[in-house]
Parts: sequence; structure tokens; C-alpha cells
Amino acid sequence: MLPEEAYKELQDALGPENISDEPALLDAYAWQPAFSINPDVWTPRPIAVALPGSTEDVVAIVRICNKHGLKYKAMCLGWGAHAAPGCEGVVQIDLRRMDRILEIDEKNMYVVVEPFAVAGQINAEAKKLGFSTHMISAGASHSPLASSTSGWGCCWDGVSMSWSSRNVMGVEWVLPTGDVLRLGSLDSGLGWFSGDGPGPSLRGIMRGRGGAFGGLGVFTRCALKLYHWPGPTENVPDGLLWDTHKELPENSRAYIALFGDERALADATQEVANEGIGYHSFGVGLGNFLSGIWPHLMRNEAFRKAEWLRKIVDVMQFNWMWLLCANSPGELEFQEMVIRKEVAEHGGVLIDMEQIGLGQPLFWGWVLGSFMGVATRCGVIGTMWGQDEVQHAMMEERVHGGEPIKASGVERGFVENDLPGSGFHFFLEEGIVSHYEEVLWYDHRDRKATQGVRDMVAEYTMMNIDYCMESGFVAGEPELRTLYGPMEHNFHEWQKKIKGVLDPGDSSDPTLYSTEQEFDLSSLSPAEQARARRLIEEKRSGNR
Amino acid sequence: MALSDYARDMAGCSRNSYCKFVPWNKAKSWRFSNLCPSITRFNFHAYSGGGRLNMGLSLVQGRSELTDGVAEIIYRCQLCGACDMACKVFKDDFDITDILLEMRTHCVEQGQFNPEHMFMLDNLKKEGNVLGEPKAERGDWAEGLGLKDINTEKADVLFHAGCRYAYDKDLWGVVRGAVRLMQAAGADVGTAGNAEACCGGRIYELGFRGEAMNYADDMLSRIDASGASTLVTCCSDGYAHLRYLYPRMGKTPPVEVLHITEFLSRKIAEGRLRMRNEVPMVVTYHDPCHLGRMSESYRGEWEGDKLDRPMAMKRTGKQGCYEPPREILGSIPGLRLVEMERIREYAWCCGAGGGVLEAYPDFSSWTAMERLEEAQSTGAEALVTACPWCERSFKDALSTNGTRLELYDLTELVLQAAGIQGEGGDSDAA
Ligand code: SF4
Ligand code: SF4
Repeated sequence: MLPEEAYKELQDALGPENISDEPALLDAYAWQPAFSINPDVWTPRPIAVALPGSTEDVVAIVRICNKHGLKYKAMCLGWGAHAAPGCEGVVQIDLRRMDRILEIDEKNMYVVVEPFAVAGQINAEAKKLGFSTHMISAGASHSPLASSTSGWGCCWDGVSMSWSSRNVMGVEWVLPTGDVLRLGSLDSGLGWFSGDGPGPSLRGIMRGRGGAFGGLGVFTRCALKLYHWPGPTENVPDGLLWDTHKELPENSRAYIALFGDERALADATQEVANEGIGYHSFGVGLGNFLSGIWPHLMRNEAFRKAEWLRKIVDVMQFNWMWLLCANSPGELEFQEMVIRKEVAEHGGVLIDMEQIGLGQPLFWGWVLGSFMGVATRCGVIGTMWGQDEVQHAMMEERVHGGEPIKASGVERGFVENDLPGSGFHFFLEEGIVSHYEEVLWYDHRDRKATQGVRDMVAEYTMMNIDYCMESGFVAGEPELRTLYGPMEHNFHEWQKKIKGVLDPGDSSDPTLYSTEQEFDLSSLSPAEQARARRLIEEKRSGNR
Repeated sequence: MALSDYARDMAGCSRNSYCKFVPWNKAKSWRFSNLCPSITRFNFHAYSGGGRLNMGLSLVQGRSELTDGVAEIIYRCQLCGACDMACKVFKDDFDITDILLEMRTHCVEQGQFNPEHMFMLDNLKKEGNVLGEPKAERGDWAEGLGLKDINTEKADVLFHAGCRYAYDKDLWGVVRGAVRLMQAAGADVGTAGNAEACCGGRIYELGFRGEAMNYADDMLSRIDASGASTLVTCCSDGYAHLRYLYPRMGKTPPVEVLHITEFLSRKIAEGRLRMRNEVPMVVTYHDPCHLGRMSESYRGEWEGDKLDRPMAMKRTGKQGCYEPPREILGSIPGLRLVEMERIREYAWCCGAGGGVLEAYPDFSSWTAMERLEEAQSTGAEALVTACPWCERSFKDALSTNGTRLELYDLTELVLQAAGIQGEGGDSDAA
């Protein structure tokens, strides 16, 4: 319960229409089926929801919470449990009213946004001026500010636009105490153009590798890099999804290549990435793809058991797509030449997706971020992922580690049978990091499924340790952090120290940043548990 | 059905917020990419389509109670169907609009009445219309039009005026003009005069389902008496209810139901109505929710997991009445249509629906103003629509705001183009 006095203060600060503690309304914030390893879909109900309209409002909320010993958690679009309170007694700060695009600086190529400026909106405005912004795999319905300042943020445009941690420039940050800190050039009164100075950088503390997921205060404004968009300034196709129809921009193409094995795929795609080629560059599982189109058909037993379909999926397992957006016919010719050469040299087959009728829906679906809703078609999506600096190692993990776990999850009836063969896979950092996600589609209404997915997390975790991959999973879950911390330079201890300095009152919901919890191995078989303990020990002692 | 019967459907929400925005393929700007008036105005997640499902699930699971505050959230919604449409770009396994309707019935069953809505219900019971106007004056709008009286004679076409057109004198020009155009096109038209009553759709939307059934029966008996093979209405609300709610209540009308825009576009295409006069104007067109996405016909109930439901049984909003109005506008010489950003199945609502106009006039007016701004941003000199509730809503908003924008019903432009001028003017249309 929110103390009456605190409610009154929040009401005075924000206006009565911007604060509520109505239980049913609060429960709308506690329904979080996606990106959760909690078998219960309901997350802890916030004690109130506050709707700030400005940085000053955020400061007021934070100060009131500190004064009354309350916790708070900020959210933007709110897709996923990481946006919700992780513990009891939390005021949810819904940043929805702070939704403006404040400035598009064409000369210096950045856009300044508030938290609830949505990716699809920013992109629509940017494209009118010949720019794009990086769009994470959640698609157009996400907050680029949240992704940039607070959590993960990668996807298939990583080869050309890197990932969210690299795209953030100047930041306005309401610290857990209520003080406002400005990062980078912003602090020196020089504008938003740099996140690293002149002025304090603190990018490593602000989000580090994966983000503090709401554990270090509230970010109220930031600047994001703009990238060149060589396509038209008007980008509205006919159709909404698979019916999308619009010519590809001049000098643009959509290709898919099929390779015979993982080695060929890894070699060829890495070579192409090394040349800086691809607006988007990624692989996607055919089974995932079919499930996005025909979820009901994929449930059909006869269809799933059809040998011919299985064979097609297997043949297409080692696929890679390139969306090309070149600036000139000559550049396009060069890009196509490199791709053709690499595909041919590695025994692959290259298909122009426009020739098979998929070019337009896929190109626009990915470029506009309008496609990702298919991820929710069968219930919710969960992804289990790993990352490596070497594409070959990533392929090894995918084929021999990740896919068998997925297949076993399907066998056990935890996740939808989408004819598992591969998930999605792309480059980050202009091609020097490889990222792979195994897609799990499951019905969150089914307790067996949500419990099963939790079990699968344990299995994927062990796989990542076994293969010495960087692990991401859902967010900074306490048990995963506690498990991985000792293996990775005790980062969890450092996080606790940072938290102690910046948030002495522990007011910013610590669940996904500094709370610790033992990793539960009990869902694994005794033999697997023994293996898991051995792996953990080896890794912690540096012998792995 | 009870709200608890929708528990599984409500739990199907994956909380991805697609119901708050236009489908992302269609986002043209920051300014006009919001889709749901309710969440855009009130901001708490519970005001969105998805948030309403989350809240409904909380209620049926006994996690929270239906308080006055919750009922207010439930009724601060135009039932415009935009969230349903946007969600279904991807989702197959629940129908938000049906659940929102059920939530209102749940409110009524639990005694959570909205006073303004009770007033509408009382009006309906007393006078046969939600506006509280005298029953004995319902047919006045048609005076002098020479319409057949279906209480005493048969007609090929039964014209249903609807409550708003029957009593809102500001709009009589539209409804009378529509009849003149139908007559000019050679239709044999009759109406029920004072015996016409509300279609009952609006009170169904307010949660009074039992009452709505009575009015549906009443409508069916009038259709029966008329001997008509076609029912034409200018009221988009009534049109949607006849196409969706009636069959859903097991009261499928035994006639072809047409909106006036469908009727007129057919007649223009057949050459029975000629658009001979120039109407030199740049206009933009507002798709009424109930003529568009909400008018999609009933597809039957699906037992079991809706993910397995054939696509033909899924209402997506795409099959609403979008082309006929545009065909008509396209046939008018000298007239140029410039589209707004949010059109067709992803159009922004006028603000009047779902009992909002009556219970929350400020919210209704705010919603209308949003649309008027969008209309103005096209550079059009006039906004055209085809629904009396939309027109009323826009008229009211314009009168309080001083926005300079002409407002027309589509029928009025057809009258000009067809050369049927004013009351009693001779037709040179055919
Ligand atoms: S109702 Fe549909 S679109 Fe809205 S949050 Fe739920 S799943 Fe998403
Ligand atoms: S019906 Fe319309 S107003 Fe109501 S929640 Fe859905 S989109 Fe919003």
C-alpha cells in the first residue's frame, strides 16, 4: 500500500489525473507474460502508478519515493517482465507522457528523444529526412531511449548500425537520489553530439554491457545516432504484414543464401560482413518463419510430421539474408558481386527474394520494424541467446548446443513445435560480434510451458558456460547474475558497489541490477546437475 | 457468455502495445501515429485495449474488484475497434472488441451503471430513442418526401433513418437528401415513420444487452412488414449493428443491409445517378469506425482455441466499407481527395461512440479535435464523413474551437454533384 501522505505528495506534484492506486489498474501493469523466467505471468503489483510529464516530474517522484522509503521502477513501452516491478512495494513510473522527439540534428546526425518516443515514430520522422535509426529486434514498438540507456538492444541491422549501447550519445539522467546528471557533451553545454565528453562519460556505469534495467534511476532524454537512409522519404507500403506491397528502393535488394553446412555459412557470411556489406544481415529459422505465417497450420499434426516439410526445413537451416541499400548502382554492383562470389565459393545458392514473392514484405517488414509482432502470434516469444566474437564459434554453439535443447523442449511439450532447426542469428558491431538467439514460442497461459521454459533456461545457461559464450537470456535476473558474477570478474559485486554509491536508499528497483539469488538447478536431472556443478566450478576457477 | 468465459482470451494478451499505435507499416509521422483515443488521452496502460484485457482478467480472477473507478475506465472508451484491428495484424486468438462489450455487460450485471447511460436507457424505454425526443415526432424528418409508409404498404427498399438523423434537425438535410438521391436513382423506398425505433446497438454497447434484444426484434418485425429486400441506412452505427451485433444475437436481418454510400456508389456505377456538376473542392475523408472496421460482418463463434480458427472466421477490420465512399468522391467532377494519415481500418475515431459523447463530452470533444487537426494537416478545405454521430461530434468540436474547416456529409456532396439542390429541388440526376 502506498502511504496516504506519499499519495498526496505525488498527486500534488503530478496532478490527480496522473497518479493512481486503483488495484485493477495496477494489475494492468503486473501482467507481463514475455521475457520472463517466472512461471507466473503476474509480476508483483506496483503500489501505485505515476505518470510524469517532464524531467522535473520525474525528479519529484524520485524524491518523494526516497523520502518515504519507497522503491520505484520506470518503464516505457513495457513489453516484457523486465519493465515491471521485480519486488513488492514499488511505484511504477510510466513514462508515457514523455513522448516527444525533441530535435533532429541533420548536420550532426542525431535525434534527441524522450523515453516514450517510439522507434516506429522516430524512424518515420527520420526517414523523411533521409535517415534511419537502429531498430532492435523488438521492432517498431519499442523505446530507443530505454534500449539505449537501460537494456540490451541488438538486432539484424547490427552490421550497419551496431547496437543500442553504441548508439547513445548525450544523456539526461535522473539519479536514484533525484539529482539530474548530464552525460557527455551535454554536460559541457555543447549539445548532444557525444556521450563520452567533453563532460563525464559514465556510459560503462550507466548501462555497462547489458544495462541496469531500471536499477539506477530514470533516463529522461537522450540523443541517438542517425544513419544514412538511401531510400525514399515516403515509406508507407500497401498492406500491413504479409500482404505488404511496395517496390524496393532504388539500389536495394533482398537476398537469401542457402549453404550446405554451418562452416560454409560462417565463412561466407563473415567474409561479406568484413567488407561492411549489408544494411541488414541475418539468418532466420524457416520453422520460425512458417509459424509466423501459419501458426495454426504448424499445430497440425499431419503437417508437422510431413517428411517433405522437415526436409525443406533442414535444407534451409543454414540460411542467411542480406537486405542491401546502396547509394548508387555502382555500390550495389560491388555488394552483389561480393555476395555472389562468397556464396558461390562456399557452395551456396543465392536467391533473390523478390523473385519468390517475399522480397517486399520482408524488406519493408524489417526496415520499418513492422514485422516483429509475429513473434507474439503463438502466445509469447522467449529467446535464449549467446554471443561470441567469432561467427564460427557461434555456429558451433547454435548447431550443437542450442538447437538440441530447443528440440528437446519441443519434445517435452514446453514450446511450440516450429520444426526447430535454427533460430535467428546476426552480426553486431559492424560484423565483429556474432549473436544467435534460439526462438521459443509458447503459450504463456499453459503452466507446463512457462515452467518448462524456466527449465530450458537452466539448460541453455549450462550450454553457454560449456561453450564459453557470453550469455544474455532475459535481463539481469538475480539468479543468473549470481551464477555468472564469479565467472566474469565478479561484475555483480561491482554492480552492488555502484548501486551503493548512486542509490544509498536502494530506491530504484534493484531486482535486475543488484539483488542476488541462488541459481536453481533442481529442474535438471541428477546427472545434469553434476555436470552443471562441474562446469560452474571449472569456469569459476578459471579452468574453462 | 459471461466475462469469466473470456478469461482465457484475456490471458492471451502478450502485452506488446501494438493496440496503441497504427500498424507500423502505416506510421507516417510522430504526430498521427497513435491509434487508441483512450490511452492517448488518459495514459495509464489500463486505458488501452490490451490494458483493458489485463484489467478484466484481474477482475475475473478475483485479484481486484469492480469499483466506480474501474467502471469509469471501462466506459471511457469509444468502442471504436481500433485496438482489435491493430492487435489482429498479428494475433489470431482473441477478439478485443467482443471482450470490451462483455466488460460493459459485466458492469451492468454488477450494478455499475453510468448515470448518463441510464438516462439514455430511460429515454429509449420511454420514447424509443436514446436522445429522449418524442416518439410521435420520429418521422417528421421525412415530411413531404413522398416516402412509402411501410406500416401500410410494401416497398423494395426500407430506409432506416436512425435516432440521430431522425431528430437532429441540423442533419436533416443529409437524410432527406439521401432519400431524394435514392428516389432519383429509381428506388422504391419506404420508411416506418413514427413507428421506427432505435436499432438498439448503442445500448448493447452500453451493456444493456437484454434491452438491445428487444429492439432487434422490433427492427426485424418492421423489416418483415415492409416486404423489402434491401435495408438502407445513413447511420453508420445502425449499419454496423445490423451487420454484426444482430447476427451475433441470433437476429440476422433477412434482407441485404446497405449503407447509403454503398447504395449510391452502386447507382453511380450503374449510371442511375450522374455526377454532372463540378464540385471544385479539396476534401479529406473520415472513415467512421462503424462504417469501417466495426461494420465487418459476423463470422460465427469458434469453439476451442481461437488460434486454430480459420482466417475466414476472423474479423480483421479490413472488410469494412472503405471503397464505396472513395468511389463516390472519385466520381465527383472537380473534387480532389487528399487522405489523412490514419485511414480505413486504422482510422482515428471521431470521439462519439460507445456512450462517450453522452457520458464524457470533454473526452469526446478532445478526440474529435485530434481528428480535425489531422484533417487540417492535409491542407483540405473540407472534411467529409458519412455518419451522423461523427458529424455531430465534429460539428460540436468545431463550434467550441474556432477551427476553420468545412464539414460535409458525403451525401451533401453527391447532391451538389447530381444537381439535386436543396429541399424539393428537381432532379436532373438520372
Ligand atoms: S491486446 Fe493485442 S496488441 Fe494489445 S498488448 Fe495485448 S497482444 Fe498486444
Ligand atoms: S475500442 Fe477504441 S477507444 Fe476503446 S480501447 Fe480500443 S482503441 Fe481504445
